[in-house]
Amino acid sequence: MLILRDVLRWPAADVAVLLETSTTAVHSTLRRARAAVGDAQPDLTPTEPSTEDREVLAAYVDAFERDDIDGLVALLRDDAILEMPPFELWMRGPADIRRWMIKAEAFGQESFTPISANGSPAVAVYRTLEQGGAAQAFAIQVLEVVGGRIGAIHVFLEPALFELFGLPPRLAAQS
Amino acid sequence: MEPGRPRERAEVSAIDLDVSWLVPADLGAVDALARLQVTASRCGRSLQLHGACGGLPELLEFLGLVGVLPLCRCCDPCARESGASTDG
Repeated sequence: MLILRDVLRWPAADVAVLLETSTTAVHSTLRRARAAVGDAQPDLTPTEPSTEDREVLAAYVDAFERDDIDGLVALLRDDAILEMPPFELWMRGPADIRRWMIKAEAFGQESFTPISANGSPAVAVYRTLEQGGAAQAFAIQVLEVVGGRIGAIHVFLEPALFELFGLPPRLAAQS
Repeated sequence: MEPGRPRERAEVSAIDLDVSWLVPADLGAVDALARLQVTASRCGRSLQLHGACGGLPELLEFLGLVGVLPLCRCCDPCARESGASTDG
């Protein structure tokens, strides 16, 4: 009934005919069904990343800072995905992610600030675009850690997001 | 598993509908079949699906609509197809 009404957007009167019941009964059953689904929702209250999350994040940042592609790939689960919404870029598996990172020159000239995004471990990436210039806000990468390894990397190439995390749009140039 | 529900439907004259071509079955197909059932009900008739395959029985069960869109198991196209493959 929930699918007929809330997914397929059927009028209650049609649902009543199909289920051979009254419209009143449809509304009443639907109310209970919606409440049951609502109770089944996971607790979405933001929490802080766990110790394990922080350790994996630290290893992830360390691999980037040392340009250690093998070390980074070793942190990925076999079914790990990398995506970059809203771009149509989605890949699965360490081999494809490794190939893409090498091709996209994801390493080098970057500075990382560990953060937390809605309870998930994340990192704010600054990239130095000019030699000797200030590092500019570049991307927020949110990790999903499952069983001590990375199950997903969600990359947001949106410098405007940095403000939401209380981060500056650029870092002072290193001397 | 909804006691009493098919009772009235079984009493009215059933229209046999061949759905063996609905492969793979999806929610859109179930939507269309359910709408046909509503129309049939309003005309005092009911649908009975024949030759359901391509995941349709499983989808109806998942959606809890087996009692609403009854399946006739007398002809199973999946079994028929696998048997026919020995001819060719």
